Amino acid sequence: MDPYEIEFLGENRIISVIPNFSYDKIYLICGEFGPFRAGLPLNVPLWLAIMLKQKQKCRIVPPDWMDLDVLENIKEEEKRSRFFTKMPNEHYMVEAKLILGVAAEDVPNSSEIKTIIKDIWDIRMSKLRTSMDALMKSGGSYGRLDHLTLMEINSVKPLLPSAMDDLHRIRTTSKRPTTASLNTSTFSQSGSSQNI
Amino acid sequence: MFAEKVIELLKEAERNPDTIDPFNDEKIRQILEEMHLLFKMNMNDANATNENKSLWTTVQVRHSALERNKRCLLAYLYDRMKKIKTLRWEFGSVLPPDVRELLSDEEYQWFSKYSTNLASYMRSLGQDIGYSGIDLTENLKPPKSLYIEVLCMADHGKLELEDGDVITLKRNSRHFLPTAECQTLIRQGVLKQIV
Amino acid sequence: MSNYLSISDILVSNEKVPCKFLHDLPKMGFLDPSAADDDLKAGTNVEIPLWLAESLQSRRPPLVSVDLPKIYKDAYREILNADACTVDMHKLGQYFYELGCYVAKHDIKGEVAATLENTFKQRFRMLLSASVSTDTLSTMQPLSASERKRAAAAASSENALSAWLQRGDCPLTTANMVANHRKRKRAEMEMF
Repeated sequence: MDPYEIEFLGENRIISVIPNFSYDKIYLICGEFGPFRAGLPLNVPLWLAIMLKQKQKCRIVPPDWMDLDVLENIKEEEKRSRFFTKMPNEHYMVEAKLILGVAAEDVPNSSEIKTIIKDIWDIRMSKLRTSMDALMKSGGSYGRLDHLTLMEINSVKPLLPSAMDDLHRIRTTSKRPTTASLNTSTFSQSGSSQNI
Repeated sequence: MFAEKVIELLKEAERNPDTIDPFNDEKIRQILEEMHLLFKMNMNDANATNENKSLWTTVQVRHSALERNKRCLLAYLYDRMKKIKTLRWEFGSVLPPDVRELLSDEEYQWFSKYSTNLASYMRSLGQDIGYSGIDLTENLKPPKSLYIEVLCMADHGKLELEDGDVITLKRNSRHFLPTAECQTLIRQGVLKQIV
Repeated sequence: MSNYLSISDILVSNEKVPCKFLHDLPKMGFLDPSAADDDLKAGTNVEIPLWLAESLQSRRPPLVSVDLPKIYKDAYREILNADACTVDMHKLGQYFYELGCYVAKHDIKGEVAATLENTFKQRFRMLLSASVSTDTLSTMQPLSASERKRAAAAASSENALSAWLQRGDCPLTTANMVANHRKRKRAEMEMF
């Protein structure tokens, strides 16, 4: 999957904004939002929040976890633990990137927060790579992905699943006795879907 | 050695996975010739197996070579078919002449039929809920903004927008257009998004 | 694994394996480039493509006995089991795993199968580093054909991720085949 597709999924998360305009309720495929009252916070999908912010129609209320103390704790725990720890939400990286990208002035200590989120991401990514190598070395045929977010899981695709397939294929076919001859083998047409 | 020509053909296909090569009539003719020859020799020797039993194995060896050639030719055609499918999704229903001429007549026929099939499928989508179809070759990436700025890469001529405006797409001209109305031209390489 | 229409499987089965002919084969002398006879004599040793070897070997009685290509023999197995990452598969075994899976059955002790698995596990870290390396030339060089494919796919998802981390928007781009045909046309024009 393309990271932008995951971002698209993450953009459906609900966050809080304070609009500087008033407007009736709006009806979207993903639900009803509003009415908008200038100065009063309300919940909207992330993509809508970003769009309004870009048009300078609102202020974004940073999510609870976008806080130096909270993040410092998460970072410490991530460093200490051999396993992956639970992140504040499934799309923390998408939220961080979009909110800090367009609304840094709405987030207190935004540049420190940016750095610390990047640190957490880097710790987790390097842990992920080490555990991938360990998994293959041990010949494991399954791995636990507890607490990994979608973006992180996607970063090991297609390498990890295809390597596990390869290993499985080597194990099964190299030990199998002779089967039918090569050029008369069953006419198996792989259902190749469009590669786009 | 048997079935060597056909391997050259497949190596060519393997080397250029992202483009389609001209249909190789000449090589295919040579391969079919090899197959005819093998078949003829087999017919002769099969008739002679009564006198010489050991010829039977020779016939079987040639038969394997025939099947090998057949497998390779089919793989060649199948690989091209997958690419021709991709052409429909990336170039659209009208192929530029220089791409069109890379296909054999049969392949072009297949392309046209596939294109028609795809079009009628896309038209049928959503009819039950009152829509007149969806173009599946559009919106391949998540939408980011309704309007984008584009640079024109080639003289394309006039483009009529949904609001009735007509603009002229000239090489190196810049435009600010609705994403929905220019994304196909971007995929076809006529326009380029400026970021 | 033997997928009838797969080009890569066809190329794998085109690799040569050493065989010994167990019976006379009339009119097949040309299979042995060093012989001048019309017929191929029993006892001749000759290297033939895997697909032919498999077909001859599966006859009853078998017409050939198949030997292991040298990369799967004792000497190389020792090197591979000691440190598989030092071996240049591009030179020694483009289709190391795929061909290995076919010929492993000719090794009754199962040592080839064990070496294949062990080699794959050891070399996985080469794929990992090739996928993030900036010096792709030297990290990709010693990889086998399928390893290169895997590493290249991994590198492209790595690139997509870092591009996403670095930029805000998702630009629309020319479709892959369209771009490549343009490129090729330009190259052809420059040539003439």
